[in-house]
Amino acid sequence: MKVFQCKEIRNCRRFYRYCYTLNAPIDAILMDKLSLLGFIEVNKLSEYSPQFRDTFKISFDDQIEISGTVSDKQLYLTVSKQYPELKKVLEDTIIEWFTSKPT
Amino acid sequence: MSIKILRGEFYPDRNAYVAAGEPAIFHCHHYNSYLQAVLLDASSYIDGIETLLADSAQEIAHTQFKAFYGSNSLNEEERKKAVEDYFKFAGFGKIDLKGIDATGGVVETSSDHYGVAFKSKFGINKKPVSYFTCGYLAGAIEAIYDMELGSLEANQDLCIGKGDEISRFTIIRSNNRKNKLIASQQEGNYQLHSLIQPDTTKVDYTAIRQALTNMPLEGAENTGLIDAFGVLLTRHYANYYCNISYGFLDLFTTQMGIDQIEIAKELMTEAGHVCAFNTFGGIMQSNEWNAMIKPMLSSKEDWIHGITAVVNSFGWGFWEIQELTDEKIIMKITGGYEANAYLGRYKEKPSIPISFLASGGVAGLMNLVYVLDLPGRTPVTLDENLYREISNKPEFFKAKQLKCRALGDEFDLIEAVKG
Amino acid sequence: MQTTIGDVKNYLNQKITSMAWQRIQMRLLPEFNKRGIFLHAITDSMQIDRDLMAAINTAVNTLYNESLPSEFLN
Repeated sequence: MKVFQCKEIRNCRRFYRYCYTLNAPIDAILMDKLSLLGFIEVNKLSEYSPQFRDTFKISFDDQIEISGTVSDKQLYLTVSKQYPELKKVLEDTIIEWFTSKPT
Repeated sequence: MSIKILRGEFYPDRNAYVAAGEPAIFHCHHYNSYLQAVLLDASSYIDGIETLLADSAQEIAHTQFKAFYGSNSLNEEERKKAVEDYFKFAGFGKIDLKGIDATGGVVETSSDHYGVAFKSKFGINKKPVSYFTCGYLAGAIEAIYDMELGSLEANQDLCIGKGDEISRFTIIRSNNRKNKLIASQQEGNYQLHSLIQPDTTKVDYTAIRQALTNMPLEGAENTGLIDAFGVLLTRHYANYYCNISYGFLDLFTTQMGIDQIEIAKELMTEAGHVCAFNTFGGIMQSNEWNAMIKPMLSSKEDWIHGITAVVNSFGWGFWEIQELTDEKIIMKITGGYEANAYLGRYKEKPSIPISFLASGGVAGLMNLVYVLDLPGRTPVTLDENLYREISNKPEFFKAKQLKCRALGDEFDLIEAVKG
Repeated sequence: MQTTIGDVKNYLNQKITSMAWQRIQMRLLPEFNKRGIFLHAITDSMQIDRDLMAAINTAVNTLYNESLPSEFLN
């Protein structure tokens, strides 16, 4: 079963940018797993309105940046062309999260 | 107590950011480079365009920093730091004024917005492109040393946009300056208004403006560039855009005749369209959009409301949708920065309506939603191929300015209709 | 048969970018004017002479790194 769809949306000199559409909304468990890949920052937009969701960004040096919105299904990955293997690390993390979710 | 760094404030009753009297607006590298490129298209036969691009920045930087230093007692080092810091904060890049004194000096940078912007958008250029930075440096340094506006001038020999490793600027005393520089019109003829929540949508205009105007969008520590929503943003000077655009129209019509003004108008409006496609399109595919706006959307019309709510945090004035269908939009703009600046600087009425950015922007947002169908296709890569694809469609929206404050109307009114 | 304004305009707008023709006009305005072609009175049926076509081709090359098709240039 496909856990996500991935589309390359930018191909720059030094990095790729991808958009992942997940089969389930982003939750705290996924964010916890992703935070192992870098330093996490959360932007508490929900403080401005109960209709707003929080956004987050996980980054490590200039190697990788993962960002998304809590409870949304889209995740963005910016990965340095020097570290393309990090894309697989992210995808394995997503698969592990999804497959361990209770049905 | 003296304030050491310049930041400014957002005024909700004007929908404007003002820093030491100078209104600041968000614009992307696409707009910055495209607008400059189309003005320079005429530089082989119209004198004064390159000078206009630099002088306009010099007038504004001098006026702004003179006002800032007038209200805050800073020594020479602190004044230099304030200039460097604001350049970085606004997303223009990084500069170091260590080697500068009242006679001028040399400034080098490995990070300069215009150089990076031009190279990214058009590839390697034959000539230096950072006219704005030349003017900013000359004007700001004049203010540091309490010199008269026009005492200095700056030239650029190395440019990131030319493929050089750095951009380099030399500032010298100005001799035999042909044209007189004029202080910036600062806030111009602004209007007071309030943000209205339309009753045809659940998109919360006030909450969105509140969140976005408090978002820390400023130049990164190491580059001084603002990388956001897939574009390089700047907290640029509203008066810069206006003075180069209307100054260009003056030069153009004087030398080429008023009858041919339509081409200039089309290209400056196109700059607004290019901006809308890239910046609005990038915002509509961002985490901030997913977080704040997507939960409120239930129709394509809501997408238009969503991006209009975002525009109301850009410092562009108050944008209010008066009429909206899938074939037409009418947008009312109160306190639009283009009109504010024009009325603040020029006594004569223009020969044509002058809200070029607004016109291109309104058409652009309709094209994104109804022609490109971004709501149905996201995520998409916003590139030249996609732009060409939608531009050639028969249903492509085109804008017309129905009312213009600079021509005596109470507000600006822009209509965009399906082709 | 000489190439017309309409031929070049349509080619540029289809193959290069939608505003390419306008940018070329802006760049070469004096060249158009000295041939009696003024923008407010321009029509698609107006013909382009060889020298003007060469100038347009140079401008297309400078702005877009492209060239006009050979049938326009011959």
